[in-house]
Order: sequence, then structure tokens, then C-alpha cells
Amino acid sequence: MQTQTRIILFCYCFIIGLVLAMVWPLNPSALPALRIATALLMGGAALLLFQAHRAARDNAPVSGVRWLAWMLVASAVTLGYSRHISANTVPDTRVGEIVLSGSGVANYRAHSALPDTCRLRVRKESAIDSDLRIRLAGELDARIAARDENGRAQIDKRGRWQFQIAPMQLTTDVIVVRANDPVGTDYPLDQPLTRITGVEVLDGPSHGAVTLYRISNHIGSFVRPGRAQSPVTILGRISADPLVYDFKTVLPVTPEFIQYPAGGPFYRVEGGDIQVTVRPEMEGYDVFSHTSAYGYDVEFRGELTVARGAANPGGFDARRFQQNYNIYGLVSLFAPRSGPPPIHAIKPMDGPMREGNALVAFSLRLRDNVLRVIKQTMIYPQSAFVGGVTLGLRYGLQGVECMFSDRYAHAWHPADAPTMIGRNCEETIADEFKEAGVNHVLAVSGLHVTIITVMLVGIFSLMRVPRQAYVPLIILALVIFSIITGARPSTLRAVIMNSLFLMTWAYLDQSLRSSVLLGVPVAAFLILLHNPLVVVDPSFTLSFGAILSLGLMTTPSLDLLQRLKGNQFILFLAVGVGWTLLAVRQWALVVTPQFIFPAIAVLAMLFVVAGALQRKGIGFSERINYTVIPEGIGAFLAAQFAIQLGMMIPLSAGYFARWPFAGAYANLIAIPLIGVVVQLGAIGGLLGLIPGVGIYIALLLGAANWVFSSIFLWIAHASSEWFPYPVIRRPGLLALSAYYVACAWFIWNKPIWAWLVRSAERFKLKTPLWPRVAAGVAAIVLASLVVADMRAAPLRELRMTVLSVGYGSSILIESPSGRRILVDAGFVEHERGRRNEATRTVVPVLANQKIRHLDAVILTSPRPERAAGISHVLSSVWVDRLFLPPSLADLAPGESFEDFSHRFNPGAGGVEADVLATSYDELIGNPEWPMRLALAPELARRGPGFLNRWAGWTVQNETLAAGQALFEEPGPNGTFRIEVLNPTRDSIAAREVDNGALVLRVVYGNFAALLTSDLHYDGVAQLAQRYSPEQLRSQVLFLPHHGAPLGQIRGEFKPVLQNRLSDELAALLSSVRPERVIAEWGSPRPVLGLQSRDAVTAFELTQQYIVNTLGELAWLSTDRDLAITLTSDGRSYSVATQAEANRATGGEDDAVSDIAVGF
Amino acid sequence: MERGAQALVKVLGAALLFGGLVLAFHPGYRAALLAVWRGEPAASPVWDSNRAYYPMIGLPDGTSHADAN
Repeated sequence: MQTQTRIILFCYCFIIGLVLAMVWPLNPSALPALRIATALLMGGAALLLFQAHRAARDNAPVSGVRWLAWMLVASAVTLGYSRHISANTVPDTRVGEIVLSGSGVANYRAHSALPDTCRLRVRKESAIDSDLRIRLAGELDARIAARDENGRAQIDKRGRWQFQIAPMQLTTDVIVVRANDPVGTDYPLDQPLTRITGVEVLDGPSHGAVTLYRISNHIGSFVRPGRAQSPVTILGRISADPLVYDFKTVLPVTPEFIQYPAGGPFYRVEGGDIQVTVRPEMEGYDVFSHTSAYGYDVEFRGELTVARGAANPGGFDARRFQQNYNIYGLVSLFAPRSGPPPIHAIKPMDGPMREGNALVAFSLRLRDNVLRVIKQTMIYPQSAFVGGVTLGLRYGLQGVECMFSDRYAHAWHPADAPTMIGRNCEETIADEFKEAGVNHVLAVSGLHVTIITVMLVGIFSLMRVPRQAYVPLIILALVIFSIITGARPSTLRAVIMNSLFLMTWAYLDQSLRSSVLLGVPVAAFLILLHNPLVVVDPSFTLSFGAILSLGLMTTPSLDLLQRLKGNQFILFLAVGVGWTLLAVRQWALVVTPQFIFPAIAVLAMLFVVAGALQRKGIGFSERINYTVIPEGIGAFLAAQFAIQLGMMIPLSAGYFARWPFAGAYANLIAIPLIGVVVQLGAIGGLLGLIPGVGIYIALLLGAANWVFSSIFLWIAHASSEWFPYPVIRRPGLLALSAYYVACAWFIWNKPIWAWLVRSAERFKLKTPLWPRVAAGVAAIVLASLVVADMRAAPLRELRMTVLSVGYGSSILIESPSGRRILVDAGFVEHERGRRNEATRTVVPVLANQKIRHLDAVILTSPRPERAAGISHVLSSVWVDRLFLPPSLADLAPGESFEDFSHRFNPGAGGVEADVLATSYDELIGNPEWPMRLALAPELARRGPGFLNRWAGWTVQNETLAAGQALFEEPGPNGTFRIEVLNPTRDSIAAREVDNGALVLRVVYGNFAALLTSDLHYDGVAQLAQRYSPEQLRSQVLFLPHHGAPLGQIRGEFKPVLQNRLSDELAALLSSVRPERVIAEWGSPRPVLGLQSRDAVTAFELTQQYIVNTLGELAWLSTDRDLAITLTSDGRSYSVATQAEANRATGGEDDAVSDIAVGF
Repeated sequence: MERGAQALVKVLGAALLFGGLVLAFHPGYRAALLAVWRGEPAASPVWDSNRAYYPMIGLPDGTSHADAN
């Protein structure tokens, strides 16, 4: 086996080890054993390698070399496995054992001395027959920060923080290890120690043992979730360039010491970074909002918290994402009302401010200077785009509206620009890029690094510098480029690979293909060895997916395309165009089985007929084929085909549950264009630094680049408008594996076929019959695996998932027979935070649960926090029936606001005018924003036309009123149905908004849940009067109006509300007798604006009332508990929350350490 | 790969010519060129349009957007 093959094998097996650790992780306590096994295996492999090398040198027979490959495989797998386990946790270390021998006698066996001031815990290791009471004696060398006359911490020139040590003798509080507690229980000590001098047993059994652990001083063991934590003081260093927004600056900080808790000793921090947010109103903000802040030593005081985990099943887990980049804590600093700011940059004693790494500092200064040139030579927002693709400044593109926004209509801007395509577009550039499938240009990756490499090679070639001389300079430039652009995994991958390629090209004269084969696994190995947690990061997998697709699938794709000749080639083109037009007209059709299977059959037939006609000489000449396309363009098209097949389709589905349909087309222009934009941006930015004439040349290049950038932005805009961006079921690991096995067949079909034929001949089977049978069976198995994995598993019980959508509502009901019903669809915020709960939460949850068809959507109220997301849900998934309250009957596009307002009677029930206006925008449409989705136009598009009926895309629109029952069906343990309890005839006649809302009771067997939507308290009281307790009895009650009904309460609402709670809500509670009460709550500010403060007060009063009446355990809310899942088999029910799930996966309460210790 | 040098020269040449056309016909770029020529880069509408984009990056003479306001 060649050395290169061994390296490739080792690197890929290392990745397999990482994946195994992700899928089947062992307890971190197995880490020492794993490390020993890895060392032994690697030692064995090294020995065999040495033997093989010596035997080859001496031309001697080799013994044991056949084991070498296995040793390499095993050592690489164990190395990858143990690296992932060790990166995912910082285990506490065992420091000693306390063995009881006879009454009152304890024998302390120290395993290791404490390395520093540490927190400790005791673990019960064996059963004991009575409670054990012990305390530890020891010494504490408490660090106290040395401070200057201004009260600031001091640091010396070499970056050593200055402390005074206060030694003290200490005896810990008594720890009681209870006999009843299970073995393995941990008991944290309240006092930290630097040395342990003895153990005193106050009372306890005669035999048994407990173990003493030192809690890791990793920063993650000091963080606490949520707000209102006691502040801590941290001494550390800014470890990367600040992320500067126009409203805040985020500082990446490596903490070195932490004072925990306030007034306590300083601990030396053993790992993990934190992000510190500072705000412009803070004194001294300018010091931190510049690149020069990189490397500064800082002291700050604030609450140390952790990012929130996923709020909904399968949702974005910010905590895990940050930990993948070694960020374990967040500190958010605000300007104090009085006194000094909470953060200071610390200047060393008798010296200037320390700077960071010289190369990094130089790179960042260069970036700022180039950015300055871009700002001088490029009009906004094109400048933000060029800054993003050339310098990796993606933060500068956040929230930047598309080029056709009215925001950019300056006097010198073409006046008709906003009307070129669509009017007054409000989408952001980043969103348009995502929808157009060109988002990858913003992640600085192989494309950019290769463009820079080619550009630099070109410049050096022009200067006639020998290849061997300039390659090291280019590699240095690529390193600087990676630092400038943030050193993301995709950039590192590209820089490592391009460097390897340049070196093999310059010094070994090797081909591109061989360097790709070696470069991909070596780059992956180096990146993952440094940080194994990025193995699932989209930046890593998409980048490697793209380069592997390019390297492995381009040639087979080209072969496939080149086989098409004459009639078949023309047919292929016609099918491509036809399929595209059909997908643009009605995307839902082209992804449905009722279209796909007949279409495949017809196409197969057409291709056979086209081939037959070709053989008879009828039709187009065989000279019309793929080779008529110029070679470069043909190869480029094949590469695009390969990337779509190998990366975009499977990985986009896996990560985002969406497929940017436009990507296949937009990239044909976007990729060549981005080469021009990046090169002109980089050259213009660098030339602009030349004093005098430089800025004029940069202005010329910038002006040209402004046109190219505008074309790029236009392509993204047009593609996002014209092409669909469909939601697809998220494939699991099984489906993805099966898909990639099929890709492997596509790539290596010839050798696999040859192997099948050889195997058939060995077993004396008929060829090619049996190899074909084997291939067919394999294809059927793979297809079955994909289909099985892509379908939701049957439930056979009732499941209600209450989504955490902030101040709003969305509930997914799954019946025992498999019906899926969505109740409400969340809020959509068009400005400020641009938070669209439908596309951000509801639709991804459906995709994550492999649901793309809903039996019904029920909209309970016209209020925007329930109704705004409905059009987005309808545009993404199949919906059979839409149920609306009677007030929303016969919605039609173009209905005037006056007519819409007349649907409601403001005097009866009361609704704020601005809320009604927002509802109108979301349900009928806003003429000022014609590109926005709204319910009425969406319903009009879902009418019974031919294509809609074929695609199953029609929606039946109905209204509901009290007395109706939906989806009544028998289940294994009782009947499932949804009862409608409101509105009654009276409230319909009164045209009430809130009291006219749909009230639903979801019933299965003995279980029931009551959804009271937006009822006010008078509506609640009427409900309690109208129905008997038996008709309302429910184990779970959803509070009306999110737990904060305000609409009818004016003035001094607190006493009024308290009365209504104790009268009207109490009446409902006594009828319903709920065991659990759910409030669908979040920050009301985006929905209620100025009224939100009152809503918060009302919510707190309601929570207090419920807790006092039903107990703490009865209260559930979607802001605290996140998504709430109710499951019932018809006899009993259970409640699970996303917050619990986050905690169970090493979540918010114990981010890193084995145990969380509080003081 | 070294053949890319020729292409680079062509692209740069074409971009300079094309940039000249844009400077001639686009009022914003024309005003920007005049502002730089007069030594008043802060008055350039191109620079001004970037007011909200990385506001802490000022002109080489130290003028920031905040100063301009």
C-alpha cells in the first residue's frame, strides 16, 4: 500500500471515529482507557510501518504488514472517537477516596494533589446503612486581585494578572451523604480549597466509601442559564476581532480568571471562551468597537449566562452551535445608571496596551484599510455585498435590505430602479441569496480561495517570478486571507487544500487530481483534530461536500451527459426546460408521487422511442450532442450538475429542510460572476491603499464592480422571486446514507459492476442476469430505506405539540389515526427583528417531523399573533381544509379595509385599531407591500384548477361555530374528536373579535385539552355558564389570550384584573378542573408595542393566581418551558418540555462539567 | 494556471475602461470623483451612502461618519 493511500485511509477512518462517537457516545469516564487503547494501536501501527519500511529497503520478505492497514484503521477510529468525546466534555477529576473503617474512623487516600484553588464534590460510591456526615479540613490560598488607584485590576507587561494571596485555614460545611440516596449521587461542597489536609467523620456507618472529585474550572462550569444571575468578575483577553454592529459590539474573550461568586476568590479558568456584548451608550465604547481592540486585556463584571438551547423540537440550538466554536458563556453589559462602566481595557503597568498576535493584528488592520477603500468606491448596499464576499464581513450584511428597497432611492439613484422587478422589496439580501441558492458565496470557501490563488499566481507570473519562489508567498497571503475572513472551517479547508496543491504543483510537479485526493482528507483531519465539534457544522460539511462532489462526481456526470446524442439530447433539453417551467408555475406538482411516477414512466418511454427513431435515422443528427457545447462550459455545467447531486440536494434538505430550486440555474451565472466581483474587490481594495493615484484606480475598478455586483444582486433577487424555495421533508441519517450509497454507485458503477460479474462467475451464476438481479435488489432496498426514513412514524396515540413561538400561538395536533391538524400559525414581524414564526418555527418543526401534509389548519382568531403566519404555512405544505371563525368567512383578495373592519363591531369585544390593521395586512394583503404573502390571495391561488387538483394543492375553506365536532374517529382507547365550543350564535351576531374566537376542546378517550384562544374574561365566564362541568372538564387548559387579556380593561387594571381572575377565571377553573395550565407566552413587544408593559404585568398576576390556586407544578409556559408536548393514550397523559430535553442532553444547567455547583 | 495572468490583465483592462464609462454617466460616481479630486472625500455621495455600514471605519484623515454628522 502506498504512503499516500495510508494517509488517506487514516484520515477518513478518523472521521468515521468521530461520527461513531456522535451516534454512540461512551461515558467520559471511559476516556483514559480509550486514550491508552489509541496509544497502543498507534504504537503498533508505527512499529509495523517501520518494519515495512526496513523490509522494503532491504528487499526482505515482510511479515505482519497485512495487519498494518487494520492497525491504521483501528488507531484512527479510536483517535477520532476519543477526540470527539474529550472535546465534548471536560470531566471532573478524581482527587481522592474516603474509606470508612470502623466507627468514626475515615481513611483518606489522596490520588492527586489539587492543582489550584478548586471546587469539590463528594460522590456516593457504594450503599451505606446509615447517613454519613463528614467535613473536610484544608487550606485556601484565596486570590485577591491587586488594584491600582482607580480600582482597576493590574497586569504586568508579560500579561500576568497581579494578585495578593490570602492564605487561610478552612473547614468545610458538613456534608450529609444519605443512606436513602442512590449510589452515584453527588454532594457539592460550598467552600473551595487549595489543599486538603484531612477528613473528619462526624457520624456514619462503619463501612463504605465516598469519592472526592475536583470540579473542572472550565468556564462552562461557572455559567448559569437565564437572567438575574449574580454578577461575576472576569479577567481575560480579547481573543479575536470584535464583531461590530451598528447597535452593539460583541467581543470574543478568553477568560483567564473568574471571581466566583462576587466577593469570593479568583479561580484560574481552564478552558472555554465567552462572548461579551457591549453597547454604544456605554462610556468607553469606542475603545472596543474597533479592530485594534483585538489582544486587549479586559476586566468586566456582569451576569455569566449561556445561550439558549433549541426552543422547539429540531429547532436551532444556539448553545450547541456556540460550543462547537468553544464559546461556553455569554455576558451582556449595559451602561449603569451611575458609576463606572462595567468593562475596562487594562493597560499593563509601565507599558502600552498589549496587542494580539502580530500576524493577526496586521491582517485585521489590512482588512479595515481595504474596507475603507470599498466604502469610498462602492455604493451601498453593493458595498456590503462586496465586503461580505471579499473580506468575509457577513455581519455587515445582516438585515441589509435588497437592492430594490425604497431605502436606496437617492436623488442620483435611477428613479425607476425599485420598479424594475417588484416594487418596494422588503426582503434582505441574505434571505434572497438563501432562496436563490447562491448563499454559498457569502461563506468564504474554496471558490474564493481559489479565485485569490489564481489571481496571485497571475500577478506573480506577470512579474516573471519563478514558481518555486512565489508559492510560499502565496501560501502566506492565503493564511492572511483566512485570518481576515474569520478562519471558518470552509476557509481553512480551502487554504489547507490550496496550499497542498500549490506545494505539490511547484515542488513535486503533481496533478490537481492527486492533490485533491490527498488534500481533502488531510484538510478534514487537521481541522477536526483541532476542533472535532465542527464535524456537523454546515460550514464544514457543505464545503467538503462541494469539493468531494466536484472531485468525484463531475467526470461521471460529464460521461452521462455526453452519452445523450441526437433525439435523446434534444429530448433531454426539452424535458429540462419543461420541468423547470412547470416547477416555476406549480412546484407542488413536480414533487408529488402522482406526478413523479407517471412522469418517469412517460419519460422512460420517450427516451426509448427517441433512441429507436435515432437508430432508424429519423430525427436529429447524432452530431447534435453535449460535445457541441464548448469544452469549458460543458465541464462547468457538469460540475454544477455534480454539486447539485452530491451536495445541494441532500445536504440542503438535511440541514435546512428546503431546496433552493433556483440554485441550479442562478449559479450558472453567479459563479463566474463572483470570480470577477471578488478579484475586482480585492485588487481595487489593495490598489486603493497606494497613496495618491491609488484611490482613483480603486474608484474606476469600484465603479465597474458596482455594475457587476448589481447584476449579481439582481440575479439573486429575480431568482428568489421567480423560482420556488420549497420545503421538503428532512431526511434522517438512514435516508442520507442510502442516498450516498446510490451516489457511490453513480461514481464507481463500472468497478462495482465488474465486481458483481466476477462474484457471479465465482458462484457459477448466469451473467449478466444475476448481477442485474443483485443491482435491482440493492436499488429496491435503498429506495425502501429512503422512503421509510422520510415518512413520519405512526403514533397510535394523541400528541399535541405546543410550539414556542414567542407571544403567539401554534399547536400541532396528531391524532391516534395519523391525522395532522395545525391550530394557529404564529406571528410575523416584518420590521425590526423580522421574525417570521411560521417560516422560522412552524414549518421547520413540520419538516423535522417529516410532515408535509396537514389534514386541516384551524385559525381560531383574526389576531395577528395567531393568524399572521397562516399564509406562509399554506404556501409551504399541503393543507386539505382550512377552518376559520365566522367573522372571516368569504375572504377575498382586494377587500377594502372598511369592508374588513365591518366584519367586526369595535363596540362589542373591543379590538385595537392598529391590531385590526395588522390583521387586515396579513389576511387580505397590504397594497403598499405587494410582495408580502396574505391569506386571501393565497386561498385564491389554492382554488380547484387543473394543476392544483393534480398536485392535491387545493384548500377547502370552511367556517366553524359552537356545536360542531371535527374529525370524530375511534381510537384504540376511546374516541378522538375536536369539539367547537365557541362562537355561539349570539357572539357571531355581535361580531365580536375576541369573544368570537374559536374555542376548541380536543378529546381522546378520558383525556381532554381546552383551547380558549383569545376569549376575554366575560367570554370565559359565559363559557363556564353555557356548558356543564362535564362538557368542559379537561386535564389541560390553555389560558385565554396568552394569560394576559387586556382588551376590555382600562385604567387601573391591576385591581380590576385581580377581581376578574378570582371571579371569571375561577369559575372556568372550577368547571374545567385542570391539572395543567399552559400559557403561550413570549415577549409581547413586537405584537402589542406600547401595551406590552401592561400585558407583562397582567401575565405575572395571572401566573401568580394560577400558582396560588393550583400549585407550582400546574403552571407551564412556552417562554420558560419552551415547546410543550402532551401525549395521551386515551387513558392517561404525559407532559414533556423542550427545556427538560435540553437539560437532559447536557444542557442549560450543566453546560460542561459533570455537575453544576452553585454558591 | 499561469495562463490566468493573461486573463487577469484583460479583465483589469476591461474593468478600468468600463469603470471610466460608469464614472462618466453615473451622477453619484461623478460626484464621488469630484469630491476626491477636491480633497473632500467626506462629501462623496458614495462614501455617504455607506453611513450605516461599519460606521467605525472612518476616512484616512480620521473623519468618521459620526464626525460628518
